Amino acid sequence: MDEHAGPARRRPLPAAEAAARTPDELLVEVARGSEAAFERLYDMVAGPVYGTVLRVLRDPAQSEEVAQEVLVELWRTATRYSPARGGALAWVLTLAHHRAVDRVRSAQSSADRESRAGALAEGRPFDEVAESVAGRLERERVRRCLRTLTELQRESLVLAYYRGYTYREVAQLLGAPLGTVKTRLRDGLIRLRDCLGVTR
Amino acid sequence: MTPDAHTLTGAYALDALDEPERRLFEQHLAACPACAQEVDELRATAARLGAAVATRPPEALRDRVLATVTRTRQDPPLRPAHQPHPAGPAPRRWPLRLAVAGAALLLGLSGALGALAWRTQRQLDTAQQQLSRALGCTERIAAVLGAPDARAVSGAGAAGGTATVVVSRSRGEALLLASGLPPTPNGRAYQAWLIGPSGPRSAGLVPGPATGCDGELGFTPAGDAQRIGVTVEPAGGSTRPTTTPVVLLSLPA
Repeated sequence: MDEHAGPARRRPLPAAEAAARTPDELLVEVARGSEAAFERLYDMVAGPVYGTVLRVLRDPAQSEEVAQEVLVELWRTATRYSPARGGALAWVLTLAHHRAVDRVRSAQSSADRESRAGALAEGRPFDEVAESVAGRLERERVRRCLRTLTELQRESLVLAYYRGYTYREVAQLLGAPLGTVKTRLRDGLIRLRDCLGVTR
Repeated sequence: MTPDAHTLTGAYALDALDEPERRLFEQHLAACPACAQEVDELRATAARLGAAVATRPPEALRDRVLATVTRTRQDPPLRPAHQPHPAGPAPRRWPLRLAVAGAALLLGLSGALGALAWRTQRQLDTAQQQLSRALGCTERIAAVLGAPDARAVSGAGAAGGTATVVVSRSRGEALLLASGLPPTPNGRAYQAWLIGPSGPRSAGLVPGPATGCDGELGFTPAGDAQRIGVTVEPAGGSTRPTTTPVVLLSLPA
């Protein structure tokens, strides 16, 4: 019943089992100061973290900087993680998106952002080549679910999440009323939540 | 909770509120458990948008992060009695050997679904049912993808959509993953066929959107089958294909 992962274990964790630890399980060990667990956790979350930040910032050098901050913060604050809040990967990606958006809003003038808006208006959310079959499958699921949204829901979500715009900016870009965009962001996320099975 | 504040959960979860509005909404959140729960769920959903654009970071980042971690002190926990797992059934151990790639996929799903299991004791049963239903397909995907000899082939559907077939000869397992195929008419379903020199043989009905395994079919790749096709058939399936395939792919060698 007492399952401490550590040198006291009678036999080493078989490789297959070790590889299949969830981020939540690893994070518990990270909170106890295990750098080895952090290294494994890094390999699971660094790609999603970097990809999320890169989407918003577009600039690889800045994205690397922000991703580094986020990943070190993951280590530093692992002790304060509470599983009730919704999964380690979701937790770190929430942090990553938040930091990326902070960076955009503090560092870039609105003029910069306008030109980004012009450059990105035609941008598709999934134009990069997937690096693994697994990545492609996750992408497929999300893509499939995004297709179930209305066009306005989907466009609003994509501009807000992948481009880091506020809902006011989204409304301006789409020429839609503020209230409508606010509602579409929520409706769209709820529909996506139900489609992806993230829910209760 | 005012209707207006409720509407903001989406924008908040997407970091799409500007600073003053965000602060106001956070004040409101502290006093509104229903909003807080919705925000949790919507954030977990938004995180899936992030996971879907995972990009391999530069190798140097790994070295820098690990080096920084070595000399960074961790924050003390907020609550002294930190319970890593709530009381209840032990989390299940993944029985399968997974490649990191397979694990990443599995984690995307199980991270989100697993979080559910922690949320409240009352919801544990429902959450576990959902989890095991989703794991049925996910485990299989992870197992096939995790095989060192996994090979994938993709193609476009004749009437739209795409299909990917992943085969591991060493495991004797394969997967068909279809997405964006036109919805089947009422009383009809997609059926997959393995096609070899001796003709087509059913590989099974492709699960529909109601199943949680939408478009994902696991099957055993017969030795002599060279192609896989998908046709529209009566809901219970046919013994022989009766319509023109909407998907036709060569199986990877």
